[in-house]
Amino acid sequence: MRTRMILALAAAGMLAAACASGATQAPSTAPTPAPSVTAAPSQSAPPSDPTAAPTATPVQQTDGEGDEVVVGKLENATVTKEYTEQQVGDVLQYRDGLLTGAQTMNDPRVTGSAQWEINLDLYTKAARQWGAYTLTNDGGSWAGSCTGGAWADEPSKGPGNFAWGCWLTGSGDYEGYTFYQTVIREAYGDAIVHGMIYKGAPPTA
Amino acid sequence: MPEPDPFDARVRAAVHGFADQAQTSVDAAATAAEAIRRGQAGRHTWLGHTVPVPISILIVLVLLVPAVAVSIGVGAAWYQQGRVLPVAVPSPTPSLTPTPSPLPSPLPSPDGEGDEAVAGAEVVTVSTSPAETVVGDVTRQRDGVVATRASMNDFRVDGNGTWQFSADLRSGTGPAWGPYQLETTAGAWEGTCTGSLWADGAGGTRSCWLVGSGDYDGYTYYVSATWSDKRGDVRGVIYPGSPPAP
Repeated sequence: MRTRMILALAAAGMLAAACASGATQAPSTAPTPAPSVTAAPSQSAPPSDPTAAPTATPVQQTDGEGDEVVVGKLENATVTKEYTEQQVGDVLQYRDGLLTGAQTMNDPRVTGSAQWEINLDLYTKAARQWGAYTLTNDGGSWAGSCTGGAWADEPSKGPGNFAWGCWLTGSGDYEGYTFYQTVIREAYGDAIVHGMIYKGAPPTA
Repeated sequence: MPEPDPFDARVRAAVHGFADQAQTSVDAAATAAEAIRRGQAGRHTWLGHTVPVPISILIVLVLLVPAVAVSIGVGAAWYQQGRVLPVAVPSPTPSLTPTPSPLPSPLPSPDGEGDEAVAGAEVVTVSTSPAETVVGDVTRQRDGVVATRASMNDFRVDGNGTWQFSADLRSGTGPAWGPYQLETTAGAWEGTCTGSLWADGAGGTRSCWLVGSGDYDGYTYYVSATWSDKRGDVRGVIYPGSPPAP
C-alpha cells in the first residue's frame, strides 16, 4: 500500500515538473517581421553609387493602377560616364557623371532601369547634389530631376551616401502621372526608395 | 503456567463470551520467533547490499528528485527575472502604406561645426488643420500647419519646426508643399519643403532646402524626412554654401 502511494506521488511530481517546464516554452505563433528592403553594402562606392545585393524582402505589390504609395530599392549602380573632379576653393566639384542601376519597387510602373546624373559639390564630408533622373520600363518612362545631400562616412570611399528627393513626370502609359520619390543610402549600404504615384503634375511651389 | 489472577480470569471469561473457542493464552517463545522472522522478511538486498526499502522505490525516488528540482528551479521567481516570455502576437495585416524603413542608427554626434551629415528622429503633429475644398476627386488642403520636434545628432538642427503645408489629395494620397521653419537655440533655418502625404497625412515624406540665419548664416541645411503615425526618420546635410540652383 505504501509503495503504491509513493509511486503515485512520484508520478504526480514528474507531471508537475513537466508542466512547469512547458510553461516557459515559446508559443508557436511568432511575430511576423515587418516588410523591409535590405541589401548588402558595396565594397567600393563612387559618389552616388547605390550598389546593393539583391536580397530584398518581398513587399506587397500594388495593383499597378491609379494613385499608389510605393516602396523599394535602387541597386547595381554602374558608372556609364565618368564624372570630372575639380577643386574650386574649399569645394571638390564632381560634374557630369552618369550612372545606371536597377530600381525594384512594389509597383511595376516604377520598376525598371534607372539612370541618373552626378553633379556634386563636396566640402569636407558633406555635399549638395543634383542631377537629371530617368526611369524606364516597358510601359513608359519617368523623367525629372533629383536634389539632395551626399556625405562620406569614410574619406577613402567618397560621398557615396545620400538623401535625394526627386520629382518625375510620366510618359507613355504613365502620361499625366507624377512619381515623387525619396532615395536614401546610408553606410554605403541600402538605397531605399519611398515614393508616391499620383495623377497630376508636380507641385509648383 | 501460573494461575491467572481474578482480573485475568474475568477477562478470559468475557472473551469466551464473545467468541467461542477464542485463544486467550499467549506463547511468548512463539511470538518472539514470529517477530524475528518478520523483521528479516522486511530487509531487502541489491547487488549484495542490504537496503531498507524495495529497489523499485529507490528507482522512483532517483527519478523523482531531479524532476522536482527542475520544476522548482524553472518555476522560481529568480529564474523568471530578466526573461521575457514570448507572447503570441497576430501577424500585422499587410498594408500598401510603407512605414519608415529601419534605417541604421543615427550617426555619431558631430562637433557641430562646418559641414556635416546629420541624422535623427522627429515627432510630427498637425497643429492646425488645413482648409479643405473638394474639386472633382481631389481634396485640396490649404494652409495647414504641421509642428515638428526634431531630435538630431547635431545641435544646430535640433529644435522645433513649423511646416505650413498645402496638399492635393486623392483618396488621402497626394503631393504636399509649403514653407518650413526650424528654430534652434542659436539660430533658425527657413525654406520650402515638397513631398507627399498618404493615409490622409498619417504618413508622408518631405524634402526641404533650408537657409540658415543667426549663427547659421551662410549655411544650408538639406533635410529629408519620412514619417508614419507621427514619428519619422530624418537625414540630411549641413554645409557652408547655398542650395543648388534649380
